[in-house]
Amino acid sequence: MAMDCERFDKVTIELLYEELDELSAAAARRHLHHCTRCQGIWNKLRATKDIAIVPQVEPPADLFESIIEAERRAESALPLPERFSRLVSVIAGYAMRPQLAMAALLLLMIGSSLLFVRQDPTGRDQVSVTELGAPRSAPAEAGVRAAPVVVEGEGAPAGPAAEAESHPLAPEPKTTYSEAMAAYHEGRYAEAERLFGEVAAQGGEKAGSAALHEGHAARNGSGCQRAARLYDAVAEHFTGTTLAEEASWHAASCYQALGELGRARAHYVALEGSPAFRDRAAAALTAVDEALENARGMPRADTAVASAQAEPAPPSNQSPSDAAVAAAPVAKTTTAAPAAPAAAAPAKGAGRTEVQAGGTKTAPSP
Amino acid sequence: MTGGLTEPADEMLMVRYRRGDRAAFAEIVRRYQTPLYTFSLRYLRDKDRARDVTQEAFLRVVRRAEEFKHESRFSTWVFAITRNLCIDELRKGRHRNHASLDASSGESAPLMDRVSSAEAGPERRALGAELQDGITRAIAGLPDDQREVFLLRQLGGVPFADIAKITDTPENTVKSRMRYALERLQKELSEFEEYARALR
Repeated sequence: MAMDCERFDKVTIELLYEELDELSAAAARRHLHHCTRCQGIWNKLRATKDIAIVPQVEPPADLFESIIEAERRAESALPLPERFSRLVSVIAGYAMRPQLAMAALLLLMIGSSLLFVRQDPTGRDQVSVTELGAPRSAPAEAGVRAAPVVVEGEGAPAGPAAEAESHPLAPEPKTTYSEAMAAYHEGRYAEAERLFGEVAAQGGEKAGSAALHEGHAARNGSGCQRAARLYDAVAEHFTGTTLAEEASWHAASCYQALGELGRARAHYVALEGSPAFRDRAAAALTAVDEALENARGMPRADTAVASAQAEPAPPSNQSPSDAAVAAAPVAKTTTAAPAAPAAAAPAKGAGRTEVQAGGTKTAPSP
Repeated sequence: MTGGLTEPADEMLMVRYRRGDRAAFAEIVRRYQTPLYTFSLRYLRDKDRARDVTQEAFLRVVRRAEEFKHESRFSTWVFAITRNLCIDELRKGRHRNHASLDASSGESAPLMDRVSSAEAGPERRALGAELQDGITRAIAGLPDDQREVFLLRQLGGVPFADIAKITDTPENTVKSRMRYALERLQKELSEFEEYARALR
C-alpha cells in the first residue's frame, strides 16, 4: 500500500521503535526514500532517540543485600498455605525433570510390553487352514509368509507332519472379503494381499476369488514376479473352473511381462481349450511365438521341443494363501529348448504339456 | 534485561523462583535493580524514595510471584509495579529533605559521576558529563505524562501497547506523548546535535 506524508506521520514513532509490522515498515521506508519533508522529520527524531539515552544511575551499594534480606523475611512471613503450595511446586519441579520423566516413560513401556506379549510368541501368528479337496502343495517360492501354517486336510488324509503341527488356536476375528477388497480399491496392496490371503485360507465360497485377488494385489503391489506364482497356485488349485482359467490368463500375462516366454506359452496353450479365453489366448500365443522366434533367431520349424510334465506337489508347508489355493505346479523340463526358459505347466498342471516353438500339444492327464 | 542467548529469560527465572530457586530471584534483582532505581529516581527525583520504591517493587514481585501468568513480559510487569509505587509515593505528598538529582548542579555532580550508560557503546560512554547532565535536565523538564511514557519506553523497553495498558491510556495517545517528548528533547538537546552526528 502506498504511503503519504499523513500516514507516515502516524507511524513514525512505531517505525522509530521498531514496533511496526513488516509490510507497513517497508511502505514507510519507501515513502521516506522519496519524500524530503518526511526525511527531515525522521532524521531529527532518530537523532534525538539515539542521543537521549537515559543515563543509568547505579543504586546504592547495599540495595541488593537489602532486597535479598527483605525477600528472605517476606518468604518466611508468607502464610502457611502459600508456603505449602510453594513447597509442592518445588517437589513438582523436581518430579518433572526430564531424567525422571524419561525413567517413568521407560518403566511404562517395559510394563506395557510385558502385559501385551503372549507366552507363546509363535501361537499368535499361526493360522489354521481347512483345505477342501486333495492336499497339494507347491514349492515355497509360490509365496512367502512369515507365519507358519498348519494345513488340516479335509476329505483327504492329512500328512502326518501336518497333523503333528496342527493344534487348536485361540479364535481370532475373521477377515472379511469386503475388508480385503476395500484395501485393494484404496490402493493398500500389501495389506490387501495379506487380507485376501487370510480370506482364502479361511475357505468358503469367497476363497477362490480371494486367492485370485491376492494375486492381483501382489501384482499391483510387488509386481509380476510374486504375482505369477500366486496365479499359478490358483490355477492349479481350482483346476477346471473359470477361476482357474482367469488365473492362468493372468499368470501367462505376468510370465510374458517377465520375459519367461516358455511359461507364458504353456498357459496360453492351455487356455486355447477354454471357450472364454480361446481367441485371446491364440492371439497372445502368436505374439509369444514371434518373440521366441526372434529370440532364438532361427526358423520356427527347426525349434526343439520342450516338454514339461507336472510333478506331484510336495507336502505343504507354506503361507496361508498358498496353502489355501494349494500349490503351483512344478514343471520339470525334460528337453529344454535352446535359449528358452524352462516351461512351466499351466493351470491344468496334472497334464503333460509339450511345448514346441511352432505349437504346443497338451496331453491329457493320466 | 531479558536473558541473552545463553542466559535464561526473565520469565524462566520467575518460574524457577516460584519453584523455590532463590538464586533465580537474586539474578532478577541483579538484572533489574539499576533500571528500576533509575526509573524511580527520574520519576520521583529523590534518591531515598527511589531506593525505597525499588526495594518495595522487588518485594511485590516476591509476594505476587504466583500472580505472574506470563501473559506479558516480566519487564512490563515489574515496571508497571514500580510505576504504580512511584505514583503512590507522589500521592503521599511527603516532601522530605532529600537531595534532588536535578535541583542544583552542586548536588547533581556527584550523582552524575555514578552515571553510566550500559546500553551504549564505547563512544557513547565517552560523552562528557555535560551531555549527560543536559539529557537529565531535559528529561526532568518533560511534562509528567510525557516523561512517564518516555521512561517506560526508553528505560524499560515497554512496548507502546503495554504502556497504554499500564497507564490506562489509549495507545495512540501514548504514541503522541512519546513523539512530543522526543520533539521537546530535540529542542533541548539541539546543542549536542553535532556531537550525536559525529557518533553515527
